[in-house]
Amino acid sequence: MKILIIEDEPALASSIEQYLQQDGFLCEVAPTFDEAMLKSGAYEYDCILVDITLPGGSGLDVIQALKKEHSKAGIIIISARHSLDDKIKGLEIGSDDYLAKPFHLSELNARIKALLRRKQFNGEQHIEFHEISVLMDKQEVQVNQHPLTLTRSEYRLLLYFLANRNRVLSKESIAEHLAGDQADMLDSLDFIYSHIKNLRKKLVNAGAEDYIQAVYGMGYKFSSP
Amino acid sequence: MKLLQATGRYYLLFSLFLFVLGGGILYLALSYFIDIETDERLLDTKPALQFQLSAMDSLPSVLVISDDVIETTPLPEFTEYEHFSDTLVWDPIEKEFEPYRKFTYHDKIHGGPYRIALSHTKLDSEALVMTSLFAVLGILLFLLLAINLFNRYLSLRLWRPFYQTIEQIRGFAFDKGAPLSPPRTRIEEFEVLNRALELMTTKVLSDYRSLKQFTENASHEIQTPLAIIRSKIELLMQQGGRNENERQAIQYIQEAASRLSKLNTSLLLLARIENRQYSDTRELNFKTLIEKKIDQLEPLISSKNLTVQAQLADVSQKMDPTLAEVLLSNLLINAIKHNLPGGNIEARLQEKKLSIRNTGKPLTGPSEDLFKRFRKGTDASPSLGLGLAIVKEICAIYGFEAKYAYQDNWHELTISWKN
Repeated sequence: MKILIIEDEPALASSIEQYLQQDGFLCEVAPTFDEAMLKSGAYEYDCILVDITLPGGSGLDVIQALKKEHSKAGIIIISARHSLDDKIKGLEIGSDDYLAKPFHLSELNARIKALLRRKQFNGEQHIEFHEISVLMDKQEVQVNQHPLTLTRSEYRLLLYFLANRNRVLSKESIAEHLAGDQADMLDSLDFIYSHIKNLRKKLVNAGAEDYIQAVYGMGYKFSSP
Repeated sequence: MKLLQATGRYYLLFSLFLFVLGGGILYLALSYFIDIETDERLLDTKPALQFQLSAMDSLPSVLVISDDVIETTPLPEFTEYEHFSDTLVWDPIEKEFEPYRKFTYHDKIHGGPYRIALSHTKLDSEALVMTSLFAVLGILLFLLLAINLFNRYLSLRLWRPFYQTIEQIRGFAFDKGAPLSPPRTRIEEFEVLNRALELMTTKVLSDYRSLKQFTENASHEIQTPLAIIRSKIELLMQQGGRNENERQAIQYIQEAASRLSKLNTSLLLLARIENRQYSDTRELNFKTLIEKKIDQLEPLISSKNLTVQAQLADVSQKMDPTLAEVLLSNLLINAIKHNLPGGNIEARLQEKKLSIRNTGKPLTGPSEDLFKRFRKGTDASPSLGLGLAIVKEICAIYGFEAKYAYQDNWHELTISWKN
């Protein structure tokens, strides 16, 4: 999987690159408008992350150029928060998703994976992790081939863990993933505990191993023990 | 006291003073001139009286001829003497003293020296003085009153532009964004004031705007370094093999960065609302929006075991979509945040009115502070205290009214609008 990161802030671009590389993505960075146009025009990418404000031009123009060439790449806008115009405009001209800065890398990772799934398998993909499998098209979770009933929050939580397996997920990133932008207005992230607790209980009761590990002082990690 | 009243009062006092002074001077002047007249008349009578008295055989000590009283007193020897004075003479008929002008002089009658006192009544002239005095004073009084009244009317008329300007200043608000533009007036002083005010408010507004702009730009610029910090922490978190101290440090940095980021987001949102950057007005169905919001907040609601009851009428309202979302979301989050575990939330949407109630502990501070910035439920809470401040700001833009009430362990926030 090839990903083009169009981002002018080198420190941020390198963070994204590092995080995604650990998941096996091949990443390239384009820090300027010209470079973005050059790279996106010359090579095929599976996913392109586009920052709107770039030295030398607007990321929106890059998206338009891509659309003109009928590029199959999934496009995610990564832009400063609350630039609502950008969001609407970006989605109108054909970007697939929008993520406001500052975002969690784990959230970006989950979004990229969801987008790639939608693009390449038309949503019909199973996610497997040992005895757990998620049937994306039916939104169904099975443990050892037996269906498991989860609430919507638990289901989303599981998907988020599966997209970021073996990664430490901070409480903030889990909270934001579950509650969306609203999480900004919350003072306590305690609400995630009950959801994590319930998900863990249901998985274990259904015969799965306990993959959700609390990482002291940091967050949670979904991995084989 | 109004300036007009104050000046009017001084005018009146001064007029009264002038009136008394004028009356006194007039009285004295009239009396003086009438005395001179009388004295001349008395002096003129002197030769005739001499003749009359000389014709008499014996001189009576007192002689009354119509309004004149003549007293004669023999003198041991003759000296030149002439003197005018005022005196009172007993009138036996009226039984009162009456004012007389007395001319005293020495003369020789039948060769013998006499002091002759010739008194002439001043009653007639006194009446004349009083009549003229009253007439003149009457006219003066009328004139003063008329001038005063006219002055009052004139002032009211002339000061009207001033009051118009005051009215405009009262209505001046930063967030309306328009400088004062008082109407033109012919009065130079007011015109100077008006133009100065216009200039001042224009400048103040532009300063205000640039300050707001600065806040927005600063918040905006802070986002990039924050994004870098957060992304780097996330990468650090992925690397294992750290001791507890290091992990704790990472955790603290991560929490602080997250708080800073939330604060910044809220401030930026506030600045943008104040700068009127959300002006994309659309017809929005509040019912659908609230249902969607409640659905999105389900993870929060279920973790606290809250029961949500929604009675939502099919109400639409013109609003910016982002602001509507922020408004509803802040109200609902507020109801969730300050709720008790296992508590209730009631959302009621009616025509032109939305009320969201929640169970919860009573407020610790005054309820007027509820909508203020950085107002927190308790000092120790990690809350930013910006949620309701944002609600209020959004309400202010659309002229909505936000009200808070607490009764029987229920907090209720009501938003009502007119159009």
